[in-house]
Amino acid sequence: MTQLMMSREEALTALQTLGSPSVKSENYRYTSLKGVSWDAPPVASGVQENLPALPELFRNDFFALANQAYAPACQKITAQGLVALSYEGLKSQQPYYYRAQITVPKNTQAQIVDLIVGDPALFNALIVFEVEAGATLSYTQLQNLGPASVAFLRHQVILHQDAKVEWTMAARGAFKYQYRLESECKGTGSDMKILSATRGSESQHFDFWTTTTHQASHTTSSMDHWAVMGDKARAVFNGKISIPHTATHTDAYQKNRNLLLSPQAVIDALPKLEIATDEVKCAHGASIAPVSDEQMYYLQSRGITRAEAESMIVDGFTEPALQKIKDLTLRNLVRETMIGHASQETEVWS
Amino acid sequence: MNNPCFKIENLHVKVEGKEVLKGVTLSMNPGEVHALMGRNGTGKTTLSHALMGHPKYEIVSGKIILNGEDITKLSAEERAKKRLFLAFQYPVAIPGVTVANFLRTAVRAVRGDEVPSKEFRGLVKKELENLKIPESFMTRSLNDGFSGGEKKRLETLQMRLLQPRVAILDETDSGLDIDALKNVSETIEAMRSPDRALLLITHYQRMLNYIKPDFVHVLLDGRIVKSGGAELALQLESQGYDWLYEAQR
Repeated sequence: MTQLMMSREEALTALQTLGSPSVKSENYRYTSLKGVSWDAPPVASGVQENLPALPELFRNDFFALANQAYAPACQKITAQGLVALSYEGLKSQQPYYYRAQITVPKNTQAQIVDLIVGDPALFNALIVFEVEAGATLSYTQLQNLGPASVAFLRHQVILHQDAKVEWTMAARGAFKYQYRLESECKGTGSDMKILSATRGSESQHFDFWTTTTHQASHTTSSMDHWAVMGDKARAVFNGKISIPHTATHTDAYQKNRNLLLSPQAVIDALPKLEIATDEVKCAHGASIAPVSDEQMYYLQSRGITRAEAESMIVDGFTEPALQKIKDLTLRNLVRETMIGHASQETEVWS
Repeated sequence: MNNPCFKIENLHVKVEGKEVLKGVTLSMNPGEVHALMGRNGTGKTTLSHALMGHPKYEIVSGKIILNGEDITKLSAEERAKKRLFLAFQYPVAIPGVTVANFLRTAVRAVRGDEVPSKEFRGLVKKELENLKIPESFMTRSLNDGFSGGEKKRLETLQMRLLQPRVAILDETDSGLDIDALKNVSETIEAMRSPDRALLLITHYQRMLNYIKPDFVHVLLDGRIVKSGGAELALQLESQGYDWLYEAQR
């Protein structure tokens, strides 16, 4: 296995050696893969023989290796202005593999909209985003896959000097969804802002596995993750901020707020901080609560039915997070993914 | 003689297994304003929530009659639809639910039909002006980050919009500065009407300078121990509650 390239055969061998993750593995303790099939179609002819190097941090990641083995090609995108990712060839009830390398050139701005819909049996995507010095990226992911889809996404975001990234995600679909986001503030002055919201019902399973690594000094990051789980749905938040000794004057936080709508719904919140230097500002917090009886009573005392009161509280729960999205169109898109309709205030008071 | 529009008959209420109200009886006729006074911890807020139908307040015995109908077993939602209103002492914050969305939903729920947007905005704007509430309130999250005074103004605004037959105002005067107290009190006073009764729960005489009650009641240890006219509030203001405690011994 070379550092620069990894052939499909090498990836397949690595996959076999690694074996599929079990619940004994730390990152799959709360995400069972029982019943998940990741069989890939035979690699079509004319595909790229070798893909770009699999980033080091994904080399022990089963689903990243699977992507290296089965993705037909690597799409190279230079993002400037508005870019919509498109998943060509995605078919209903078939496994789908996607690989891309996206660069936002130095001192430019890009807005990427990533709409993940359809009902493939398996959706496996691995994308490396390189945000060059002084560049600005706004990325918005709206995941609304069909109820039978299983999805594993791997994103790496590398921020060079003074790069600014606003990363927004709303996840509502798929039977099982595991999203791994590796952000690296590599250049001084870089800033990574992550905002994600998810809402699950029935037996859906969402696993957010994020690491923000501050490699350079004077870097900033924030992570706000909001989840609403009903029925027997489960959400895992496995969020880590890593600050090595080189990253002095880092300012970082992660917040995770969760609302449980049923006694059978489960939330596992696992925020972690790894700090190897003193000169940093770093905070984290997590909360898990059911719908408040007092809030319900207050709304009902105004004649509002129990069902409508609950719906108002639940729809409103993620709203403070959504208000952080400055672009109104994007905010409404995210809101629509989360609650099925656009805006409260514009409907009632405009 | 009027028929009472609101009657509380020998109400016993438990909170978390402890009996807090030990037989409260009170009757209000349409057009009347009653004040209920008493020290902290005597059961005033328990009474207000029991009357509104808070599920945590268990009515052990007794009845609540609204316009001739026994509402003791009804939910808060059903009581509200029968035009009973409670202005909360501590209104809860609901992040993400805008004041506008909440008010529109509440008005629709209580009236039983949709209020056209234009009419709703007109209604609300008038009340916002009366209560000196800035319009920017409407797009804020309900009670979230509101000052004590802002919360009380919003409770009063809700009462104005929902036009209850019986309104209970639980310490609506607390948290208000002098000017706000005058403004809110005058707005409440304007609610006095021949087809409505108001029950003001308060610690102090100060609100009663603006809203002259027809009757004043004193709640002590879960029972009404003294009732009288407006002069009783003045007597309490000058003499405190000790003499009533003494009389009970």
